[in-house]
Amino acid sequence: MSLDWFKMMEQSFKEPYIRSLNDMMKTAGPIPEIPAVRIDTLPYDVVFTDGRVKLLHYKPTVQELLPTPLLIVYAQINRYYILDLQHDKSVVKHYLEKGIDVFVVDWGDPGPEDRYETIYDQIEYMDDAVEYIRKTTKAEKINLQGYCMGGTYSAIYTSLYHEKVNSLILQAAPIDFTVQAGILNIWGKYIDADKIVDSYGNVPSSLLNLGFLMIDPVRLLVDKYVKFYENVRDKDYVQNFLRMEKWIFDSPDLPGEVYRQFIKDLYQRNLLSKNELVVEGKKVDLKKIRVPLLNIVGTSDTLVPPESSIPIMDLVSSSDKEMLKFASGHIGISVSARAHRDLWPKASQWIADRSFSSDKSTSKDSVKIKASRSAKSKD
Amino acid sequence: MSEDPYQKFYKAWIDATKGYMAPWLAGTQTGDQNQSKSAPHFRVDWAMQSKDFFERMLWFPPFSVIQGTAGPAIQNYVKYAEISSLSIEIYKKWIDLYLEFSRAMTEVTTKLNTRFLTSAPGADPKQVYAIWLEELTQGLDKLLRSEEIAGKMAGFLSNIMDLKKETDGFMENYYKSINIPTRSEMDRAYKEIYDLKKTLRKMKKNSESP
Repeated sequence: MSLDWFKMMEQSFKEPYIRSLNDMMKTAGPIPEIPAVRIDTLPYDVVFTDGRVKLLHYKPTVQELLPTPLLIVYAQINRYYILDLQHDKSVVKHYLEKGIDVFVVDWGDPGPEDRYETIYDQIEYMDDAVEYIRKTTKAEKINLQGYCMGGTYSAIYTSLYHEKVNSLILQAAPIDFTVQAGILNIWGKYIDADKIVDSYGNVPSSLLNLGFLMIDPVRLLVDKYVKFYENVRDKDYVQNFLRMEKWIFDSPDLPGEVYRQFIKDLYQRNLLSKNELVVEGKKVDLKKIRVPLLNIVGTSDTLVPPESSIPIMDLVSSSDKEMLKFASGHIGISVSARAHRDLWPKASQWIADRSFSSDKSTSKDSVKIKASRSAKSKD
Repeated sequence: MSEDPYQKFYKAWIDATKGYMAPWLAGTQTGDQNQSKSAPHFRVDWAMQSKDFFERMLWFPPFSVIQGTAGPAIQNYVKYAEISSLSIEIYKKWIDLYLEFSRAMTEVTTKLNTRFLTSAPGADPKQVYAIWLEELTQGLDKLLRSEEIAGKMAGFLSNIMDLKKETDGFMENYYKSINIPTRSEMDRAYKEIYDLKKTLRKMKKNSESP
């Protein structure tokens, strides 16, 4: 038996809101029947498994694929499917339509046996995935996209394994942790990560979620549900809302040592942007990144403020670098209708334009490869 | 201008709480180090006395004979005293945070009253809600961005972790006394598995590299 205080606190937060939500629903009169929420992800195969970590390969939707595949790495604190939440709001769909061969890392659920895994172990998981993709697609290099914490990992990976990366795409990636614009950055300075990890092992998602909700409690605990109430008769709105809620609270625990290192080395000592981060004896030097860089930043992101993501532009040695600033928050950048109209077509074109230079033998002239000859699936 | 009823209520509530909590909060509010050291006697004394009492029990002949098996169980009474002391510390920090939030809410209420008095939003509840939302968001944002609050929240969290450590230790002692594997034993096993997995991964990588 152990007391999970945060689970209790989360419950004490949640239950009154569920109750008041129910009361509000009652006053709204008869409500249309809401079908069970479904995440409409595009079809994929699990092509590689390494412990809890899986590599997903999305089924191509066009006949010919670009020669350089894309690996997407999402944060470990939520699930990858935010990039493919529903049919009309899928970043993956944009990529597939452009002929990009898409692979995604699914971090899975860490168990107690994973508590000792460090950031370096996650980088090694990424490298196993990259090796698998290189071997099966015969591509020399891959395009690498990292979102949020996955962006930090992708920057570290590219610095350590630059010879395997063709281009780097960062989406709302925290790089400079000293900024005062983000509440998480302020709190991060005071957190005693040692006590949390020594006490819990893996850091529970309930504790992490409570922290995220407290960043903007009025909007996330009140206004969001008031808006839901206002739109409770709109079937599509309700479906979208429930999908988002499902994603928000479908969060795995975080391996303890990853959390310890992330808080102490990054939030408190800011070692990454100082080029002083050392993982497993290897120094992470962002100057070693010379590949084309696309930095996607949400201008109203409160989790990872733009001030935290923008500095990478000056820390890398890439000559081909571009920043796409988009008026959106941390999640809106992936799911808002505006982002799918204005941002993702541009981003996918940027990747497609750089997908011909995977190795010296592939240029725009040597055209695309047959979709059927892309990575082998398990089934 | 006379004080509005909300302010009056909150003030009275804060004063009452402060009065009630005075022995527990003494010295911590003012930052007076000497007072901090000397004042909260009764909570610490109570916990320490219980600790001493249970520790002395270990030397009481009937217990000392069976110390090998009864020891861990009796140690739990000692832990219980520590847990009680920590719980009081957490409660104190919680009240302190609660007061900070109450102060911020009083400020928000004052601002709301002023806004409602100067620019009557009319009978449209949506407009009233929008004003409430704006003021509350701003008020809480200011509070949550404060370094002082961040420090207090981290201190609160840290105390909760201390308490968890003690309660977990309580259970460890109990499991040990009835010969059941404990969490720290499991953790040691997990560490070995982790080290083995890591070695294996390294070997595999070395064998695959050209």
